[in-house]
Amino acid sequence: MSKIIKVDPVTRIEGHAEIKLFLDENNHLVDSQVKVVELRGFEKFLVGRPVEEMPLITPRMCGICHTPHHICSAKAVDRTFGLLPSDLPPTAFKLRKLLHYGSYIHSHVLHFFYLAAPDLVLGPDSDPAKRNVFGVLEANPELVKQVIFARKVGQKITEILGGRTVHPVTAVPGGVSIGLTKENRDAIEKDVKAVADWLPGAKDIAISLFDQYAEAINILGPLPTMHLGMVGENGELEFHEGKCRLIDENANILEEFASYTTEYRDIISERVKDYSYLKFPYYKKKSFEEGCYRVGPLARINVADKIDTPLAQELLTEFRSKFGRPADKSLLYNYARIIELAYAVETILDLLQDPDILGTKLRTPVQAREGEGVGILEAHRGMLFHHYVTDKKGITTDVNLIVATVSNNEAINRSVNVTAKDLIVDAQPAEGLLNRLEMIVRAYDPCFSCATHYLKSGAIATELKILNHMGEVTHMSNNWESNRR
Amino acid sequence: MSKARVATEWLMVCSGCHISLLDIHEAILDVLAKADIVRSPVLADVKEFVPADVGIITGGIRNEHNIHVAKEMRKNCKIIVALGSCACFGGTPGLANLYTREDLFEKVYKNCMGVDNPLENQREPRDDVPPLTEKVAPLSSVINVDVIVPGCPPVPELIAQGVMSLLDGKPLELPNQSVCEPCPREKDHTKIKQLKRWYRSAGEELDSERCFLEQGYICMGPVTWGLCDARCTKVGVPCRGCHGPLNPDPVKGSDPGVDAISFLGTLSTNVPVEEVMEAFGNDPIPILYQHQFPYAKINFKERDKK
Repeated sequence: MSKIIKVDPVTRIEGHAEIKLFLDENNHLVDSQVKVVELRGFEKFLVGRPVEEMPLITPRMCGICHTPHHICSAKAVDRTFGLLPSDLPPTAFKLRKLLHYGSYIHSHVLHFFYLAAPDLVLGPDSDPAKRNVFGVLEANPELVKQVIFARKVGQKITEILGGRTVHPVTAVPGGVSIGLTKENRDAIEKDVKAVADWLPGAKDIAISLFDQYAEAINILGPLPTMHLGMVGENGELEFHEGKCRLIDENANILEEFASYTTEYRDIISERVKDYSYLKFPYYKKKSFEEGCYRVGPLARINVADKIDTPLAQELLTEFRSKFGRPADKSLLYNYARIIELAYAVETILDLLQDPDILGTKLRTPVQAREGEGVGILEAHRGMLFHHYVTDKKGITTDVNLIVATVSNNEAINRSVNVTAKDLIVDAQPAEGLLNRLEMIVRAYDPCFSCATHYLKSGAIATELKILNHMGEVTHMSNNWESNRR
Repeated sequence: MSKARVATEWLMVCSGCHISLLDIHEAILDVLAKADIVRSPVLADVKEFVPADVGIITGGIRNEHNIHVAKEMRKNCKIIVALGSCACFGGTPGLANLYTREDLFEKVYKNCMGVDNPLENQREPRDDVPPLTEKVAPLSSVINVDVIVPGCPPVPELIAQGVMSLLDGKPLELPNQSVCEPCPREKDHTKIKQLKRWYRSAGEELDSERCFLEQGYICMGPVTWGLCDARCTKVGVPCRGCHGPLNPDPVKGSDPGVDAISFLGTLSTNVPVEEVMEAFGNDPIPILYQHQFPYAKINFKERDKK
């Protein structure tokens, strides 16, 4: 092994990561690593806490998917107190669901239009100094204004129902701390309807970009894996409460398990590797090598038999006719995200029609007890697991967390590996080629700040270091200084 | 007038401060009229450090790489803004300072449920990953910081005001008030008669109009800088101190944990100490210092290994 190419940091993702490529003397890829270089240790300092504090602390794992963490945590807390999802007052259950779905507008719009779209709107080989949302703003100011508006609507829902735009607080043991007023219901409805009106045009833009980059979609990160996602009672797409379904590479159902029991522990193990602070979960009933599964928008679209809202179902039908089931190309995560955005918007409008949503019974009383509680739901980036064990005073004695990006860790590594093998044939690859590897990482919308609840950090760029067999650096470049040398 | 050059960075973060920055929504277009974002790894691909007038840093220090990045930013930026309670005070991840690095590794890579660790003769990853610093620390422990903007995250309105005042070169007066000022809950200014765990609010009649403390629930509002418009207490949840101490200064400033013990001592003289401890789940530190443990003025010892 004589050369190492390093992309550090990977940019336009949340959190810190690096890509490291190992080439042999003939410049063939022999190995690759997507490294996560941070750890915070939440699982350690969450032990010993009054369990009702967990929904207030755990959102701090992630500033983007804080709402899923907050609600997932509240679900696990309810279970430690002995409550089932059906024990919550219907109003509380539906308000949590509304808060949860509202956060999808913020996160999916953020990821697609702010982070991923610049590669497609401006091109993967465009000037790295301009290849960002500000470049898109110059190229298409009207689109960016609409995108800002759509995100604002999502954050407004979080603020009204969660109390804050980031790190909401209202999911409390046994329910929610505030109800929804008629006035706020109407305000949300008006705004979400405006987003719904914008959606058909926005999805046309997105889908035309996917069509334009059909070849890139085929080349970048094709990967047959299992897929894990939540579905509702009748196999429909579901983010909040349902059963967890694992399918194989041919869409056969391997497992279905409950979202509020410890069953998941029979399904998933987490491997530790030397080169990354992030662990590598896998399907426990197979070997690590055979056990790679994916989560997130693409996995959810693949496990769902159907979608219960009209525009999203229409998009799903079109998607399946183009890519089959399961679709396995990594860049299709972006496409799946657009389908889910439509589903979230349509579901919110449905929920707002439900008379329960304005109800005033908000909480079910709880008593401290020795307990064990699992909460599972679909965070924006994939299935999220919170698992708490408490003593008789309701103090946590053990905590386990599996966040979405961690589940995708192995798949991200493999997607980059399989693509780098084809693309990297030179020890000094063009910036655009390295950006294509970053596009794969980006497609998963990884949230390494979230995933590194073990550890965390922030920025990402790409650096190329070529070492001779003595380990001396013979060439150094990076993807941000290309025009300076 | 030439545009100001603004760079943003993130260290040990959850990304929430950058999200709060984006949550100024359309106002970002006003900022962009006056400033160029010359580097921002979350949003753009410029990977090297470039000179800037204003460098906004979110997140505290947790590993050697964070220190490197902080120092590079200091070298390249005229003004450094510490944005958010992690950068200002160490933040929630600072609770890791109750333990050693070894404790974290032991839990995460060995004792966690479902962990499968085949590494031989070692526990944690070591291959070219930046070593953790011994403790989590605020940004000011490694570089000089010119402006602090606390909050977990700072509210978007405050960020918008702060950024615009920097770009316009006008000082920003911030109210010197606790969370109790904007909090609309009624206070009788009576003594606290009892203290109890927060989960019990589900079973008992929680008066939605009345001060949490006077109803017996721990609230950090009186000792927390009220830049937040009391958004948590307004939606029925007691304050956990995310905007940090009233008078944040590493040397002369107030310590919210000490201040909270002080007001509890004064207001709850009739409450048995066991009951006070019980209300904290027998472990007051993580509630007293959820967002600023590394900033605490008291030198706490690590927990006994268990």
